[in-house]
Amino acid sequence: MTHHHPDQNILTEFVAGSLNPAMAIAVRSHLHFCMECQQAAHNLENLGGSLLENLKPEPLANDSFASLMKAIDSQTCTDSHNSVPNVPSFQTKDRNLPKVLNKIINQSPVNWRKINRTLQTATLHTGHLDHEVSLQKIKAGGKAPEHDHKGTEITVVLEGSFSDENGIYHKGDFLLKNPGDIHQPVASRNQDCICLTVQDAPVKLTSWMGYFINPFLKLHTA
Amino acid sequence: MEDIKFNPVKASNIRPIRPMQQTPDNPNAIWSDYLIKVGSNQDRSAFKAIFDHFGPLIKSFFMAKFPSKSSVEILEELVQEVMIKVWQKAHSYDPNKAAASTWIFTLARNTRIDMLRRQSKYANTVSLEADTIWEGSTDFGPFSFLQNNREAHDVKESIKTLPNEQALVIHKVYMESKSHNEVAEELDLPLGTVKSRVRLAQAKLQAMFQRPSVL
Repeated sequence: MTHHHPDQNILTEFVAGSLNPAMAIAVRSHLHFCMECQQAAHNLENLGGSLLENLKPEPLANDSFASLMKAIDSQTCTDSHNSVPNVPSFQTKDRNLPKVLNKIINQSPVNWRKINRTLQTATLHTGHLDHEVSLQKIKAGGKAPEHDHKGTEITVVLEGSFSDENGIYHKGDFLLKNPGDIHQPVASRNQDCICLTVQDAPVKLTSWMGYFINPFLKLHTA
Repeated sequence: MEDIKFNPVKASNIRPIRPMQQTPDNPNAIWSDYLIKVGSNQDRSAFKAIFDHFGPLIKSFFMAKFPSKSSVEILEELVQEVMIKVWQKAHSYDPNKAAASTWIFTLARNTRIDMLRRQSKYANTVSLEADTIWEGSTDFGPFSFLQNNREAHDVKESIKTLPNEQALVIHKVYMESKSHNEVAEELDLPLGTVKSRVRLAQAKLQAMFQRPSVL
């Protein structure tokens, strides 16, 4: 059961399709864990369908249907290459990663980089160059460097839990940090915490410690 | 005096009237049937009917996003791209999960996202397709999806009752695919105003849009 959700406006942009694809990956991952937001997204999609139905129809060219069927008939059956039987290069213990992350990970393996004793990070290759999408692994009881945010940073907990000044976040929880927000995540003591993060600008570390170990100073987009 | 036999109506004798039985068949259900026919046996006349109804709406949908620069050819191509997906994916359509118009909206939306992605300087050739990220968003469930078509119909009717300022914002967000920020800039409104209009409109459309307040 998740307690921290994307707000209705983010969910609306997701459903309307105007949300940046990198951020959409985070929303999609949250939906994987959250029935409540699935229901909300479902309602918002119904609204999209109704708005489509209410548009003023624009007449198509006379031969439109004929050329459509010609295009369809000339296509050979290519719809069956979708299955991806790869062995995933990374899994959470409960093997319950969101589908979208499985696909990304299957396309390019997860390479963990060690940032310090308690933190490892792995950049995910999504092809969206204006955002960094990555996995963070904080050791049980470990602290991530305190940092503030130049841009927005979204975190979705995939395994374990962590806390900061404002609360505790469990699997599936969705956390949005805006410019100026400062926080220092600490993983819960009983198990490692793995999170998805999506950032649209480098994160600035606020403690001198982090200055040398900042995993976020450069965007590793791919 | 005539002896009137008083026959009290016991509560237990009243057959509960279900909303589904109360209303005549919903016109939207036709499109679900046609989609199923296309999916199960590639029924071309059903597909033609879907095309005749939704094709011009999809064209209108793309015109909203690409109003001036879009040539007739490009619009026709985009409609074709969506309709090919309808044809190919109809077998995966589940009427218990989404109304036909909702399902087709998601296909058109994904096509639009991919088109914008191809134009974007921020995406390279290996960037993920919209289907990968947005795929299966109509797979949500299980809920009381038997009422999907009714819901879709109700929402369609209530949209017409929205105040203009809310209807405009909702249209820009969904049909013109503008972020809240872009809508705020275009209409010269504070971002907070745009956000609250979106929420107000949705709350007004259906009590079903209301959800527990979030942190």
